[in-house]
Amino acid sequence: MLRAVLCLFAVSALFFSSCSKEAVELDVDVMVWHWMTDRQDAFEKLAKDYFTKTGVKVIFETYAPSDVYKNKISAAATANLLPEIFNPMANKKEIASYINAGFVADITDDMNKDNWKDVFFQRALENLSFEENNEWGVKSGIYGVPIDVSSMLIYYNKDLFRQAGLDPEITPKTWGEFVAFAKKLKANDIQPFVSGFGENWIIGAFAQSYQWELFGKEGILSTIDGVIPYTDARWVKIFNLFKELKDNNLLATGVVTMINKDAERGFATGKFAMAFNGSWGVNVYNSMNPNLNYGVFYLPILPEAQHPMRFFGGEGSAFYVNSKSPNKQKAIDFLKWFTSEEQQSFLSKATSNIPANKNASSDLPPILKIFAESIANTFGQLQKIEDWQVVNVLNTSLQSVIIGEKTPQKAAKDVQDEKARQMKNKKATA
Amino acid sequence: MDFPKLKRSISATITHFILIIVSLSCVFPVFWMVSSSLKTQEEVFSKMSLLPSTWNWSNYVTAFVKADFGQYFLNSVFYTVVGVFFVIFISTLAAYAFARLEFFGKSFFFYLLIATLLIPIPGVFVPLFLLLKNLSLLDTRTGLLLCYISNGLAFAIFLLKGFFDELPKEVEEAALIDGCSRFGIYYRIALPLAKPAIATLVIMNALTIWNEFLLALVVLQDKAKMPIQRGLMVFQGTFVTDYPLLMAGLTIATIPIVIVYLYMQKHIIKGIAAGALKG
Repeated sequence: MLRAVLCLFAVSALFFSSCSKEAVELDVDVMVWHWMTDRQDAFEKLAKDYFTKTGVKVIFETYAPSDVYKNKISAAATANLLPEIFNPMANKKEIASYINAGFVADITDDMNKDNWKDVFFQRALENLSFEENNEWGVKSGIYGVPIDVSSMLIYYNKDLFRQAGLDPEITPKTWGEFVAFAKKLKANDIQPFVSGFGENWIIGAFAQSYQWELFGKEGILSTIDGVIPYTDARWVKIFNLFKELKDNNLLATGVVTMINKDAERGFATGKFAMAFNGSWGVNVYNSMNPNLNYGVFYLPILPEAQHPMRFFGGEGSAFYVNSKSPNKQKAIDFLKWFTSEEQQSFLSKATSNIPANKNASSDLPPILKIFAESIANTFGQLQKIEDWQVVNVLNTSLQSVIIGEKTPQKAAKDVQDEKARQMKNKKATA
Repeated sequence: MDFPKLKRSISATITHFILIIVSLSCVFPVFWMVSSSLKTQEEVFSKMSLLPSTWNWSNYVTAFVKADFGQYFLNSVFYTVVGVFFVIFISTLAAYAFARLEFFGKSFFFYLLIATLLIPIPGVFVPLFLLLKNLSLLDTRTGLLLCYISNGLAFAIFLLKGFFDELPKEVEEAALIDGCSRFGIYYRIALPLAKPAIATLVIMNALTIWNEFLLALVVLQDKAKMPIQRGLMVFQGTFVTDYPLLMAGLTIATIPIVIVYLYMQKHIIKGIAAGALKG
């Protein structure tokens, strides 16, 4: 009995000793919560430089993976404990709710001062801004600061191209050429094309490029408004592109269930000749196989399309400033310094990303330069977005076409049915 | 020919074969983890060999230093020891009360407690965060410990109540006649007989708390209070994961809990043997 009492006393003492240590008030001017674990060293170096220069103490705290980070942000927002700088990692609709709740500062005036906004790739800033009369009722202005930019293009393995008798310096420009190249690779027992099509957003990103090319911005908005149906011949055409790849066995085995990490591994180890992936892939492939001999080309165009081809991309990572923080201005000043040419150049080299500051992208490696050039042609800003239920059915229908579960016509009809259902629901709610 | 003997021998061979396959499937991921921890990043992706071509023991030193394991290790030991102790201490008392005492709303409170098992942790992040904030327990070890303890209680009480229900009442009645108090019965009779269940709970809760990561990240902010799993985070980049260092880190983080498991396994067997006599 005595032993048990002593044990209970000892552990209780341990427990209560932890009680006595209150939450430590950190001696910090600007706290940054982020999820980019692989950039922590570079961020800390910049924070140290900034302290030396200004005496303002900035601390970068990592919370990863991104799901945990998002939970932390939403919990902290509810408790009104957000740090000076953060990112809700949410879509535009959710960002709008953070802004409307007063958690995110409108930094338009600061962006206009000293032409800060002019240093960024226009597209990156567009995605962090809200236009007049947007559907979420957010006051028009700029709300986020881009840290880097990214876009999604097609990587190709030069050695596998050569092995198939293709000139690695000549890349397909049109869809027809792309299919012909892929067929030639296939004829030489090389799996032509891979991507993380198991992840809905990636297959959606690929399809959206052709949506922009066939419909243009106005056409997309009309589709969202329900004026153009998903059964439109152009949508059937997009579904048919995937069917064509499937019918000719040009897609990697199991591509519909493949996550992007597996697709990246497959491309890095020379299993696949071409891969649809983002600019972050440069960093990934270098890490997995530094000897990989690869290049990159734009998505092949459809000659019959009437609009320019656009790519998925824009701002890669971004930061938002907490409007309720007493150190709000210090946070904005830090971000201004953080996104200046010198700091962006350092970040770009340290992390193999495309800097958000366009002036810092002059000495990028050749492949990242191609990505940087494509930023101007990434998807434009839309004042409204499609219902997530419709996007979900659209992406899963694309997957269904690849596995032969649906014809392009049936897939288009299913998406349109979902669209009609959502519009009906909206009407009923209104 | 001795057919029964042959039948037994074939049956034993098949049983052993299946057990070997199952054992291999359990051991292989651990083997793969240790093997990958000694490879280079390039080798992990390009060569599917079981053993590394060069054994990079330095990965362990790099992982230990880079992940600040020294700092996080003691935190995890603290959370695990204190957390498990209080889960066992509170749950044995509560389970015994639910099994043996009569009080108003006993069944209601018991099922209410069990119902909390259905709530996933990520689903309570926001209310938990608010509650801890209101109690001024955010970013404190106490706050995290309370979460760990409350998280482990429902299942522990459920398991132990079932165990106490099975204990013969006659033994307790005899103790009462001999002048033993209600607490004395709990401490001297029920608790020793519940050893196998307690040993199982110690292992389960120790594993859960040692491997827990989500709650710690949400509740804590100060790195100095973070558990060992936080150290592993540094190897998982947004797009690139350093697999050799991650595997080395995982191996380091796994060793203490494997030792606890092996130690407690012996107690479970002892407990089961003791439990067999309880009737």
